[in-house]
Amino acid sequence: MSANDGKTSPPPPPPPGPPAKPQPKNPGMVTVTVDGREVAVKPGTNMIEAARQVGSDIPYYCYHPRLSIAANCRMCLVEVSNAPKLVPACQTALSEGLVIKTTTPKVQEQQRAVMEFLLLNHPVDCAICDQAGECKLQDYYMTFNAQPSRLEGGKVMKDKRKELGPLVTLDQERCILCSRCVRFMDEVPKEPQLGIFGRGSHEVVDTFPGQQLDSNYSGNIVDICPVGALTNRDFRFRARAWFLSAAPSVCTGCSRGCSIFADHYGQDTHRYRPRENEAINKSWMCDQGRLSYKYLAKGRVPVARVGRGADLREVTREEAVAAAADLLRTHARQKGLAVLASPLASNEDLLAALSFAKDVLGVSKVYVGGRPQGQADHYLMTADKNPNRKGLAWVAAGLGLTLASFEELEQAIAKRQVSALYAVGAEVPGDVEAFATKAEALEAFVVQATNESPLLAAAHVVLPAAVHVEDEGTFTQADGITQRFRKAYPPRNEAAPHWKWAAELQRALGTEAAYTSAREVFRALAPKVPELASFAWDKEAPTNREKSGINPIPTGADGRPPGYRESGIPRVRGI
Amino acid sequence: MTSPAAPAVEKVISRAWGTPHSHTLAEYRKRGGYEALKKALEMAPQAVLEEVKKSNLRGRGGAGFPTGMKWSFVPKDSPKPKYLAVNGDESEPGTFKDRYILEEDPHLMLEGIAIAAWALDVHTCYVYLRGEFKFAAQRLQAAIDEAYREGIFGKKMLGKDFELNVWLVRGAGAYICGEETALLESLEGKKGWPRLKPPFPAVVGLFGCPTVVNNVETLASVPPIFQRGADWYAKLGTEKSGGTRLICLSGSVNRPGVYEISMATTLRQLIEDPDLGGGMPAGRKVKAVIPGGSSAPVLAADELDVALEFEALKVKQTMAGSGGVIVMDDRTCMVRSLWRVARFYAEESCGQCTPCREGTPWQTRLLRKIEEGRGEPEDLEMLLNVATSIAPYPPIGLGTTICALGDAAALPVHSFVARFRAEFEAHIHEKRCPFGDRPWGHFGDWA
Amino acid sequence: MAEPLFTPEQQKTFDTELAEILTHYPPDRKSAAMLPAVRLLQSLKGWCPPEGLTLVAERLGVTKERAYEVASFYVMYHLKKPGKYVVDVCTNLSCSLRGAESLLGYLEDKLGVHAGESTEQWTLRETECLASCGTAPCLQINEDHFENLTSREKVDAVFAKLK
Repeated sequence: MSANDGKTSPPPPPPPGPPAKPQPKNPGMVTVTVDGREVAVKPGTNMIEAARQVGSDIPYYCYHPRLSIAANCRMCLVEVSNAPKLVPACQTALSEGLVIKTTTPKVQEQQRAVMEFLLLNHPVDCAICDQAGECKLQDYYMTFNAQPSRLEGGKVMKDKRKELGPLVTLDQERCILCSRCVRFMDEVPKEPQLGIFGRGSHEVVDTFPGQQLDSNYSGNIVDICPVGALTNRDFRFRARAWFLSAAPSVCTGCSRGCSIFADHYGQDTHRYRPRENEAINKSWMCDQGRLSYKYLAKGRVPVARVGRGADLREVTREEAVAAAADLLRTHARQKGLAVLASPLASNEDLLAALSFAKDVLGVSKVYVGGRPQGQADHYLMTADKNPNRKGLAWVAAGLGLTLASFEELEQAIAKRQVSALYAVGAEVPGDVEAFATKAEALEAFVVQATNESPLLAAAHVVLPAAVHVEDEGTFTQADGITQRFRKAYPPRNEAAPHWKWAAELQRALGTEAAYTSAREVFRALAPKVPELASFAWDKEAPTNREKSGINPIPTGADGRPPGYRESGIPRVRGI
Repeated sequence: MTSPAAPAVEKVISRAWGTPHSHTLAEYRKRGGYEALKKALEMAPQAVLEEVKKSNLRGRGGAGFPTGMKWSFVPKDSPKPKYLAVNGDESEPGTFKDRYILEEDPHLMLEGIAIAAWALDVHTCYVYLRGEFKFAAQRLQAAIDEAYREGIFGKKMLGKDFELNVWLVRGAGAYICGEETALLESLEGKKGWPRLKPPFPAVVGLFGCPTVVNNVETLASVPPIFQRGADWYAKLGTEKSGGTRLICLSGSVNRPGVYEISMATTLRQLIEDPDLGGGMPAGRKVKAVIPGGSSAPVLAADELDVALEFEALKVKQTMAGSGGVIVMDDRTCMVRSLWRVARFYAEESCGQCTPCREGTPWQTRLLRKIEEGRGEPEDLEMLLNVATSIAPYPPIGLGTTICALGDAAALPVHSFVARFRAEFEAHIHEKRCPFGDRPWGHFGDWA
Repeated sequence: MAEPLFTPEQQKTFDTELAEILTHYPPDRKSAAMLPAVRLLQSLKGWCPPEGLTLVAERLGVTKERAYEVASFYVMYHLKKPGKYVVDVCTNLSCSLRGAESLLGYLEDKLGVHAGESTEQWTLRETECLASCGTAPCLQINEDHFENLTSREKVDAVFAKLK
């Protein structure tokens, strides 16, 4: 066909072998098509995550992004262009140009079949199941099956209400054997206290005979259990999941500062759940932290009071502030006045309270209170049981205050060097009874306390302080990461945040305090603290839209308890 | 109709069976034992592998995968040790050939192990033997000890600087451990949950190292290839599958047992040949035959003129499997037969993935209901629907489960109902088993 | 104080045999010896008591939960003390075709125990294929095979020796 036709041999055929891999459409990425939508993801991305990026939600039970792949539930099977059969989306590697279909009739039939298989031996006791409302069997049944049961006859009987350990109860009949809990215990806290014993349809999740599930991370398996098999003994039967609202918050159990949701109903927090945070707690939290919510309601100081012993009386906020201001006024700018600050208080609380202490009360050092040291463990839990020690150090340094230990305060009181005390938080890292006795000698003792303590008997004025879920703010955890937490509900009774008491005391002592919210405190005072100055308070706020509970008629609106319905003619809500 | 006599074939694996002391090394040597190993050791490992490829030997565990190709998947340049795992977990109902090999001629397999080890540069081999085989374990352990004493295993193989250690590991009663990745898990001291694939054992196998898993009969077929040549071996068989086959014949025939046959032998010849099955019991006719272990789809009486060979059986939409041929005569209730088969898979499901764990007992329950006369018209469709949910593409399977046990449990359901639907319907309409509900048994005192 | 798991002689047997088993595996893969080690435990104790599994797990450097998973997965390991003789009758298809169901019924009457149940003397179980299909029906008593049990006399002969 050309000038030298016939003289040269035709080009050699391509060498035999597997066809060359297609060139990536997006260099450094893998490009696949999910349900007709193209998506480019990093190599190694899971098919479920890739599909999620373009809005295709592939259902699954056993898959968990932070655990190894088990591929045993078979719910995530999808059609792909390079295999004749359905493949599990959690396990199958993405390859360039792969076409994935997640809603074909074959896939839908598989989803229906798996749902039916899983419900075969499941008791379907949703009415008395704590998981109802946040159960993947319920959710997926409505989405992927919604068929009446075809099964008659008995189900496999297994153990129910088996107390695995101090925090977790197991119902083996509800279990779908996805093995998430077993993999979690193996892989995350590395305390493999669970196993799947037996085989076939008779196998069960359990502990070794006689062994307690006593890991400090056992609560997490309740969170990751997709069904009602594992329930939290502390939370069981306390609230229906759909009544609970979730406020993004921070655990105050130790200085790790795990990101959490505070699930609450009305003015009650019913549980903490870990909130995804790659830098701190991944998706987990420890059991001690999980149970640390209890102080939010238990033993709270409800109202302000003044006086000691027989003189003790409850007063209004205004009276209390006036009384406290009178006491502090006489001791302000005197050598005998000391300030005790708690590392349980938020940065905003400390900014306001310590500014007041320095500028108005005229102190140059702050004694550090807070909870005593405790045990650390091998994973998340630290020995320092205070969530904001770092924040306290930063704020004090930024305001030009030095820190002194609690022991020094004890000695100073014993030596009569300190005769008046303003305490932000009533927690002390020592013998509280002994300290209370020493504090009897103080001429003026004003304390802002969240919870009752023997120490309060020694106070001249007790101002009821809000806990962190009752206001917004920030904590700085042990590694120096500052986190915003959201307000779940307004302070109980007469309580108010520490910053607010400090501001009111400041005003009562004749100095302006130009802030009316935690946000304004931060804006006004954080610039003085280099570490906090750059923190974008508004931008760092965790989204508040995770879950909002259904609130029935509030107590007392019509004189009936919440959820009360009369039989007969349906009543109009709120009348 | 083909001739009732099966084509003659030279016995390759079973020739010494039944002769006195056939299991000893001395007798094995008299038959030319370990000569094949000598020949192989003079060849380069790659040449040994090519020879096996040329022989067209296909795996005898059930899947019929070409052995030479399986060996060639092992990466040559891996820095990790390589392992050979011998699958002696023979548990497929109707299969009992490997047990005979180990009891009658264990050195044949051991020589196969030695040749495979040389070809694959393997220095450690584990023989995973079914836990229930106490006698076979004793025979095999004695043979291994002999091989160590005689300088075949151990530091030097027949004087050559090549170390091979062979260890016998006994299972503990789990059919699933015959699945090669479950076998590896079990060898690693865990419960036999099949692994997710890929990666395949040839790349990531035992202890994370490249591993070849071969069936006992497959390895026992290797020495004859080197004694007589790959071409000779290939010619014994068909175009795509070399050698002879061991068939385990059981059920309703006059002479049940293990027979070594040509792959051209048809099912009918196997049953009728006086030297093989010896025909049906007096007055009885064949009703159905399972041709390759209980997971193989069943064939009806008019489908018996099919060669017992991988490709031919595939055309009939069933499989050669593990060579377990189960014959059912005209007194046999097909519902009850299927229930027996289904029950096995429900018992032996490992419980790892949902469709098999929940679906196999459901099938069993439905079958029992139909057999006991409690079945309702919709139960038959439900049964097929459950089977389809486990293996959505009958008759080839392509199951929704991690391993092939789901397919194995579901495919017989499809094949039994497809061929004997009227019988299932009769159970449902008559509300009883037409064959009566007395315990089965047509032989001896149990008739 | 709980009774010790083993007698001194049993402990010695356990230690020496386990040491031998461990030579079959790479030194960093001791856990692979789980199946033979549990078998060894059962051969000494007659079953797999939790304390025994704990010991095995300790020796193999794994958690006791892994040992219990293994012991509960395989049917030849007993998690409860069985009868003196464990009689496993195969009732799979090939054996059933040749009378295993009747054989099982005969044994239930003869031994006075139902399939799936235990007395101090007998544990009678229906089991799955024992690879004796060509010599069906068959049964297994404590790992010993008995085949071709086509008549009551043959069955009686097998059991005559057991006391």
